[in-house]
Amino acid sequence: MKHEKARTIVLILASALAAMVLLFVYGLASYSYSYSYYNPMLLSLGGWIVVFLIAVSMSYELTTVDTDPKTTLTDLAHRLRVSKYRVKEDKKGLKVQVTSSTVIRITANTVQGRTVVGYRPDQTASGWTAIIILIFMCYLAAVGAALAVYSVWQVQRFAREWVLPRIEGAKPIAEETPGDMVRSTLIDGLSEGYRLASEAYEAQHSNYQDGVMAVITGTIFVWFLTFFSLLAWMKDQPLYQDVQASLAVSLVAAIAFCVPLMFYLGRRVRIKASDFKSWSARLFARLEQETRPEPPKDLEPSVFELLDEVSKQIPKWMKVMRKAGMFTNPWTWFTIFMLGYLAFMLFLIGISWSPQDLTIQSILVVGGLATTLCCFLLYVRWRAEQREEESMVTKDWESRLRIMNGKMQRHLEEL
Amino acid sequence: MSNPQQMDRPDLYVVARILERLWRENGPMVKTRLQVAARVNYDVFLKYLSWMVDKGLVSLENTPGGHEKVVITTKGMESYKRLVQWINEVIHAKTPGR
Repeated sequence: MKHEKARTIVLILASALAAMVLLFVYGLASYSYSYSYYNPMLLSLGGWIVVFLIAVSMSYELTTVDTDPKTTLTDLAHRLRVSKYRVKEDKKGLKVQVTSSTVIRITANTVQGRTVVGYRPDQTASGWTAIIILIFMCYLAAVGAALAVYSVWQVQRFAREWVLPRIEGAKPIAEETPGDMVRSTLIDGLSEGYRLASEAYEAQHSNYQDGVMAVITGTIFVWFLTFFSLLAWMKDQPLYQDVQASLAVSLVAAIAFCVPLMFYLGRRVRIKASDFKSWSARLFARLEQETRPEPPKDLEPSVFELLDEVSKQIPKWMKVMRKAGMFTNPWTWFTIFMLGYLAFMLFLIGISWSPQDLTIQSILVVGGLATTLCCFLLYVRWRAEQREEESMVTKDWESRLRIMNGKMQRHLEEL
Repeated sequence: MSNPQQMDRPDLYVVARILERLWRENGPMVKTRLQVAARVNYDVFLKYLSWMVDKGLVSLENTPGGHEKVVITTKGMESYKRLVQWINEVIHAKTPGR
């Protein structure tokens, strides 16, 4: 069986991971702390990174069918939506959310006249953030690699138990009666609306976390700047009093900076987030009703009206999704974060460097300034691209709505 | 219809509500129940019904009890399917076709 190969790979990766853990424990027990290439602890660290890279980059074959790739994926997307999975269709294929952190990417390609359906594991934005942070935290890379292997196991199980039965032996949607086709279309619309509303909520949440992180960084900076400036300013005072007074004033300054911003952030973001959450809950409830074997007949408002309302809300949801950098563009945000962190460290080392060695101190401070500038320029470029994309999408969406309304009115007039 | 009334510009949402309710019923439906689903008063509902019968979207059936029941026609089903498809295309970020 084709999908048995994925199970074997998971077993191999898990065994390699366990072997690396044993090697690490051996290194720890034998006190091998030298920086030699043969150091068991360093070898295990390298091993975890290799396991992680293999786990996130491999793709697997699921089955081969006779329907064309487009129909195979469209029909599969619909069946997964009926099972209330969040499905995103893009040029590469389908992206289905398996758990809050794991995603499966499903593709279909023509090989020798037949359609080969394959898949590979992927992560949601929060999943990637957690794994990458762990990978960069030296020996915690073992946990990151273990999470990556676990997600491969989850994805291959999902592919075998949920995807495969919905590809092989399922009735093609093109053979449905007009009545069933209407239901399928309503389910697809509700499911897509639910996915977008849920992603808008998650993006808003991620936005909030980005904001909190920025405020915390700013607070540390304010505290640091106030504390050391005061310490330098009051250098003629006895040392104990210096430190005490500087500490007190810098703490007050940091709190005065942090509290109002946190309050503003919490209030502004929470209102929007609760709106998105209620939309997501409303659409999920409707989706559940519509996918029952006997859907209730007296639904209010009608699903048509609900979908019409959704179509007007989507630009707002998309705007939030684009604003959430970590959510839509984790790599750019990771670079911005790393540059910011580097700039902060260069400033910190530069300021605390001995004033006698002015050349090195200047190099460190100038390096900090240059890194801050790079960080700022990268952010400005990302923001400009985001604004441009936003205005284009809004324009497209408005034109789509206009076309749809025009078509519907004309349809009624021409009946 | 006993009292056919004229209507210039029907509200798309009311038409869609009536068609959706009839599609869900999958058979003839008593007028008063349909009026509740349409969420308009009875006079306005009759105007819509008359218009929809004229356009061939729905038809009326007499029952042995003397009640008139409304049923969706193939044209009505096709119309509702088209409306739903257009809105679904917009939600999937596609320009409505056909």
